[in-house]
Amino acid sequence: MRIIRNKEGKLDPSLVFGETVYWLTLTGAFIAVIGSTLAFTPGIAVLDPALVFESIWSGDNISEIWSKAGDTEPYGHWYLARIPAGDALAMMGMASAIFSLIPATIAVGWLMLRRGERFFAVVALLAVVLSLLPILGVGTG
Amino acid sequence: MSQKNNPSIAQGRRNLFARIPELNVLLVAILASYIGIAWALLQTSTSDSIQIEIIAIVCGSFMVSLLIAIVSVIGGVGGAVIFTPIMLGFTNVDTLVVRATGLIVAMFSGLVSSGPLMRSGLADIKLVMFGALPIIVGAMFGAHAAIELAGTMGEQGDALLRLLLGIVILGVAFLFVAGGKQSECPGNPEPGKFARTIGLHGWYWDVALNKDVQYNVRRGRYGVVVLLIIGFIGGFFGLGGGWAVVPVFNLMMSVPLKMAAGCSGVLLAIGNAAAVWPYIMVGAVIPIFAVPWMLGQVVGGIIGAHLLANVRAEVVRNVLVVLLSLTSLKLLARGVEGMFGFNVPLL
Repeated sequence: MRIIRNKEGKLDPSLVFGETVYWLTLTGAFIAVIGSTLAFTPGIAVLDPALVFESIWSGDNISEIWSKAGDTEPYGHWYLARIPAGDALAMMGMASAIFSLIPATIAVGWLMLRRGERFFAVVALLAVVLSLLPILGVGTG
Repeated sequence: MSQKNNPSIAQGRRNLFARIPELNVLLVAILASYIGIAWALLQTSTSDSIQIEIIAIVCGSFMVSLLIAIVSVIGGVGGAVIFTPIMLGFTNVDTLVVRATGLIVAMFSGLVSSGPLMRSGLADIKLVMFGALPIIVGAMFGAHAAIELAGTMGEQGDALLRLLLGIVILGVAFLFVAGGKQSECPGNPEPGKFARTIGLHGWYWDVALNKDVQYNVRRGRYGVVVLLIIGFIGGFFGLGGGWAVVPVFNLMMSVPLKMAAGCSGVLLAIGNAAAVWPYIMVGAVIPIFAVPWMLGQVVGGIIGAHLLANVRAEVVRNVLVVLLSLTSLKLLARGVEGMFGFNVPLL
């Protein structure tokens, strides 16, 4: 745990944030690598890879891409329900990497509070709340 | 800060790939994945030309993304500044898919570079949080305003705003050129009252200069207001805040250029994270199309963060001037197109 502690042996908010996001992003990247490889294996993908690329490069919109290459229109966190599929796994890898900011920012807020830096604790808390709203689908229509 | 107690940084200029085993593992995994994809495609009944086209797109996207990430991390701007004009200018890909993938490109180099940047002291979580909140709030209001005003502003009004914004960004690029070396390391001015109250100051070890660089933040309150406006403009036009965070931190708040670039990358990842979820939920992020771009950003982001620690601030300034100039050219072109109704080639 030396990597997230400063010279005095205390947890450093910058290091805790950086290491949390770094390692969770790398984990997400590995999941995405596995998922995208599986997605090209016939029969274990939500979207047919050849049709997806053909549809994207011909300028089709989202609905057309999904209707031509897939079976259903995506809604919400669609990938969670389709996890065995390679492209759903790849999407989950990307989503989990993006989500890494939430625990990292919560940890920063907690450490700032412990250090008596209430201004930055409140800022971190607000950043978490504002980041969680779109994940929960609030205000996104 | 964290510089001297971190073994990975203390190892100095040792070969990048020897210092970061996880980067090697990731590169091997990506290579194995692309071999696997090629093999899987060969098992299908798809025609040879389409198989080769798909493999070329996947590998090409990864390589282009890797280069974009290195440049954008050094300049402290999101990769979308380069990605979006290229995709909109040279391909038929739907704008919603481009914007969604652009957000992935804009944020993943920032996400992954947060580790090396925080370790090397080139990003300070206080400065990041200080800038992130007004950018997020401004972007949310900007996006809503864009929807509300879409019917009343008209194409001419929208084009005029783009034209003005292009001129402003070109002016900022000029300030970096005119400011010269003074903008790279603004010295150690007396801290502002607001910044002193909240403890917004610090230092980092500059490998290129081989010395500590102290900094005090000035004009913090004005910084919040300007970042709020930048967030609003970014949300309104779908630009993000990458074009302006480094200039505000450096030229206005007296943060050294390398620290400003380091914080900007991480800050943009936080800001773009809030924006990308709605795109994910409507299916605009197409996984097999976006993953090569994402992987290029991850690998390039790690390399870029380590290069940023070692390059001279002058390099950061030059990269930033080029990127800001390209962004302003794009905005000026779209402004002129909207106002006078003709296409500007290549832009």
